[in-house]
Amino acid sequence: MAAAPPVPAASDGKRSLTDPRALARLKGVTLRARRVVDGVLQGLHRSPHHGASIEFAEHKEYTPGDEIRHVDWKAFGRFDKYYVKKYEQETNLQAFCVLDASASMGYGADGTLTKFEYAGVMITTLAYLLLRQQDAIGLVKYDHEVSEVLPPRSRINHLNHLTTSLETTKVKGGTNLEAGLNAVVEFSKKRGLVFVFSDFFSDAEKPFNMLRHLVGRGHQVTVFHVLDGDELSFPFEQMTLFEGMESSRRLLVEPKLVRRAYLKRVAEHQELIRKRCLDSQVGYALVDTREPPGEVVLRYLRANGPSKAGG
Amino acid sequence: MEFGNGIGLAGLALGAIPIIIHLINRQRAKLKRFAAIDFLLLSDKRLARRLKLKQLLVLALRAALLMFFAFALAKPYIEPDLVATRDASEPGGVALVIDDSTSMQTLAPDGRTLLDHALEQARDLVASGGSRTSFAVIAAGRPARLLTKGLSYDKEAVGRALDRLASDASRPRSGDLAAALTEAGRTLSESPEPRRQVYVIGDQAAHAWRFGTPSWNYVPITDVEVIDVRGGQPIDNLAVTGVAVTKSGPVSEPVLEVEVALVNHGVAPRTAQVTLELGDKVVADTATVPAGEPSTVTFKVRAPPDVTGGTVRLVPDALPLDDSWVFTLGQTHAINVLVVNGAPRSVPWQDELYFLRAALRARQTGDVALNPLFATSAELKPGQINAADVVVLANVGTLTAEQQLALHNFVEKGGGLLVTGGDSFGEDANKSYGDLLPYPIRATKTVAKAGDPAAALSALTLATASFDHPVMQVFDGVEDASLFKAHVYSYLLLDTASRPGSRVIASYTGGIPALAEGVVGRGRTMLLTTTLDMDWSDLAIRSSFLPLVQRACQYLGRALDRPGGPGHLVGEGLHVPLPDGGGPLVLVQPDGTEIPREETADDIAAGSLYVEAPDQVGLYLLMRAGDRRHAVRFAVNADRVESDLTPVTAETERAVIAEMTRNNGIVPDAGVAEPAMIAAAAGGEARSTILWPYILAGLFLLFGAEAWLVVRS
Repeated sequence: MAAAPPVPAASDGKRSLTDPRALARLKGVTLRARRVVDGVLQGLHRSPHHGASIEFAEHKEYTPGDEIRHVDWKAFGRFDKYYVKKYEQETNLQAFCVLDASASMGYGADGTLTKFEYAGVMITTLAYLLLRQQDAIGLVKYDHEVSEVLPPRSRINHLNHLTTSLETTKVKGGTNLEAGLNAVVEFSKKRGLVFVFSDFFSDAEKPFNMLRHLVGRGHQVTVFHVLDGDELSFPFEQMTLFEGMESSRRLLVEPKLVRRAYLKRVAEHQELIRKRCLDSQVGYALVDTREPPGEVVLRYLRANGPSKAGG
Repeated sequence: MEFGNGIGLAGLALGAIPIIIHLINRQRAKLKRFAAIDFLLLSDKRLARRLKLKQLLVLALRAALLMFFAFALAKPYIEPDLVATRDASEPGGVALVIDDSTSMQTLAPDGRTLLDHALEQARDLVASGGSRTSFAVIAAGRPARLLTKGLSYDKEAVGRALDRLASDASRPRSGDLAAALTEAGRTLSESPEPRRQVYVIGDQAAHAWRFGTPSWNYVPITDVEVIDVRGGQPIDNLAVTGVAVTKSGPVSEPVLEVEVALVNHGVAPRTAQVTLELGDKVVADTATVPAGEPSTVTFKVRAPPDVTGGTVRLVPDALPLDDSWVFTLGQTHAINVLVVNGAPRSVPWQDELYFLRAALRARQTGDVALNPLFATSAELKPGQINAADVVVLANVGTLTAEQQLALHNFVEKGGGLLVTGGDSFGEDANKSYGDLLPYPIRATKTVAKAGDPAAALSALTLATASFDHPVMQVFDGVEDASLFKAHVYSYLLLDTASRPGSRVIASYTGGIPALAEGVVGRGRTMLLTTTLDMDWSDLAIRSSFLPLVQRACQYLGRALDRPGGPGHLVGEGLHVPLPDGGGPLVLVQPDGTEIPREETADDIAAGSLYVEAPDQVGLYLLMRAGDRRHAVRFAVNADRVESDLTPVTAETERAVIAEMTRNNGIVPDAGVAEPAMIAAAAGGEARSTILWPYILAGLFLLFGAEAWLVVRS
C-alpha cells in the first residue's frame, strides 16, 4: 500500500488555513474554494506556467450564416472579399468534472470534510482557475444514475451554478460511473479535459471501458481517487459495529484483529485502480482527504500545466 | 490430582472476565457507518467465518490464560501411583495375588467374569517379565494358596498355575486377602533379587480389605500395585442373604413360614421376582428393595409331603452365585459342645452341670442342634477339645499347661470357649487361663449367702445388657424377663481395663460385669462371672437360663452369625449328626457325587461326623449306604459377604499396605528403596509430580499464541 501523504502543517506548528479540518469549519463550498484558490494562485505565481490569452487566430471566407459583426471590413477594403475573423475563444479548453455522489462519498472522518465535500472544493478550485482564463467547465454528478449535468460554460457566473449544485447535493445510493461518463460523451462537443472524482468502491472493470472510450475520442482524462484518511489507515481501536453506507451490511469486530487484512486489501484495490488507469492512458492521482485540497490541485497543475493539458 | 492451595481454584472464575468484557464491549460497541466495509472481509463469507473463529479463539485463549493462572496458583500436583509402572520386566520377584473369591464370578459388561479379566492381567504381567523375573501365583480365595512352587522363573509353569486357577474358578469361596498377602510376603522373602513386587489383582471389594493387618516385617517389598479389574465401577447386585423357616401345624404336613432376607448392594432400587421352590411346588412373589438396604419377603405355604428342603431363587444378575439359597426343613448339623465339669458331685442336683446338662439337651429350634459332650477337668484331653466346636469350662479354676495350650490353639482357629465362675477360681486362675479370659479376674466377691432368708435383699441382679448382642437379642423387648430377676450372691470381679476385642455384654447392679466377651485369633471367648448351679446364684432355675446358655453356645459355635438365619457356608467345616441305622457312611454332594466316609469311635461316641470344608453350594446328604430315608440333610450356601461389591477406597488400600510395609525400612539392605506405598501413605510429597511449572510454561505459550493471533490480524 502506498504510504498516506503526510498532513501538511505550518512551520510554526499551527494548522494551515487550507487544511481540511480548517476548511470543514467554513460553511459552503464557495468560501472553502476561495481560500484554496488563494493558495493555489500564490503557488502558480511561483510556477513557470502562465495562463493563455484570448487572441485572433485566423481569417475565414464568409459564408451565409456567419455573424455579420465578425466580418473584417479592413480585409474587405483590401481584397474586396468578405472575410470573417476567427478568435481563439472558440478553441478554448473545455473541461468536464465527473463527480461521484453515491452514499459512500458521504464518509468523512470526524471533524473533517467528507469525500464529497473535499471533491467539491477541488472542483470549485479548478473551475475558478479555468473560468478565469475563459475556459469552459461542466459538471456531471451521478450516483446509481446521472443525477445532474451542467454543460460546460466559460462565463464567470457559471461558477455560481457549479457551487450551488455542489452545495445542494445530497449523497445517496450506489455508484454508476459508467453512466456519468456516458453523459460526458453525450454533452462534450469537442476534445477536452475530463476529471473523475470517485472512491471507486464499485465494480472496478466496467468504468474503464468507458474511460478508454473517452481517451480514444481525444479527451485527456484524469482520475482523482478520493479516499478518506480513515479508509487509508483504519485507525479504529474499540470494538465497533461497522455498517455499510451503500448497503445494510453490518460487522461487529475488534478493529485490531482485522486491520492488517483490511489495509492489505485497500492497498491492493488502490493499486488495481492505478494500474487500470495507466493501462487506459488515464491520469491517476490518489487524493487523501487529510491533505489540503490546494496542495492536491497544485500538484496536479504542476504535473499537467496548460501546455500539457491543452489538448 | 491434588492441590497445594485449593482456594486458588476459586480463581478459575477469572476465566469469565474476558467473556464478560467481550459481552459488555459487544453491547457497547459503537455503530460506525463506514464506506469501505467490503474491505472488512464481510464480502468474503469464508474469511468472515475465519474472522469469527479467530475472535472466538482469541477470547478462548484469554479466558484460558486467566484460568491457567488461577490453576497454577492452586499449586496442582499428581499423587504418585501405587507403583511406578505396571511392568514386570525388571529383574526381581513378583507375587501375583489373584482374588478368586465368589465375588470374582461377577459378570463384567463384556460377559466375562472378573476373574477372567484378572487372569488376563496376570498373564500380561507374566508375558512382560524378563529372564531374571520370577513369579509366584497366590490365590486369595479361602484358603489362600500358593499355586506355584515358590518363585518360578519358568513362565510356562506360572502359566499352568494360572490355568489351574481358572479351572478351579467355579468353586465358591470366601476371600482371605490377609492370608494371601502374608503368603506373598513369605514367598518374596526367598527372592534373591532386591526388587520385590506384589500385584493384588481383583475386584478390590471393600470387604476383602477389612482385616487385621498382617505385617511384612523384614520383607523388603519394594512395590505394591493394586489392580482393580473392574476399574472402580460399582456393580449392581441383589442377593439372597438368608432364609428362616418356622414350622407350625401338623407334623405330617406342616405350614411353613419362610422368611427370605434380601440385600440390594446396588445404587438404585431393585424390583425382583422371588421364587420359592419346595419339591414340585413353586410359589413366587415380587419384592422392591431400596438401594443399599435389606428387605424381607415372607412366604406362608403348606409343605408338600416328604419335602425335606427347598430353594429360594432370584432372577440371575451380575453375580448369579448369590441369587439362590438352599435350606433344609429340619436340624441338619450339630454344634459339638464339650462341657468340662470343674466341680463334679456325686449327688446329681448338687453337681455343677445338673442344670446345664438339662438345658443343652432340651428341645432346640432352628437348623443347628447342640450336641453336648461331658468331661471333667481332670480327664480333659486335647483330642477332646479339637473334636468340639464349643468348650464350656464350668467352675474350672485351673488348667494344665497342656490343656491351656490346646484350648488356646482351639480358640485361635475359631473355636468357642465359655468359662463360668465358681469357688474353684483362685489367685492363679489368671495365670492358668492367660488371654483366654476376656478380662483378668481381680477377686471373688460374695454379697450374700445362698439359702439365707435375707439374701434376696443384698443379692445382685442383672441390671443392664447389650441387646444388640446375638446372645441377648432374645431378651430384647421381653417384659419381666426372669434373667433380670435372678439373684446373684457371689461373683468374679473383673479388671475391665481396656483390652482390644473384649467387652461387657451384661452387668449387675452398679455396673459390675456379669457376662463378658473376648476374641482370641479367629475364636471367641465368654466369661459368666457367676455359677451355672445354685451355689452362687439362682439363675439356673430361672426360665431365662435355657435360652441364655443355648444362645451362648450357638453364638460361640457361630451358628448365629449367618445373615438371615442359620445355615452353613462353603469352605467351613461342620459337625453333622450321624444318621440312624447301620452300614457304611456316604456323603452325597449337591452334584450327586457320593463320597464314602468312615466313622471313628470318637465320632460314634460324639454322635456326629465332622465334614471338612464343603466346596459346593446346595443340599448335602449324609446317609448309610442305600438308606436315603434316614439320611441327614444339610444345606451349604456361598458366603454372602462376597455379595457386597462396593469398591474399597484408595485411602483404605494405602493405609493397609502402608501398615504392612511399615517395618520394612529397618532391614539393613542398602540396595532396596522404601516401598512406594510408604511415601504415598505419608503424603507422598517427595514423589509427587508438581504441575504448576508446566502450567506456567503453558501460560507463556498461550500468551504467545494470543499475541500472534492479534498481531497477525
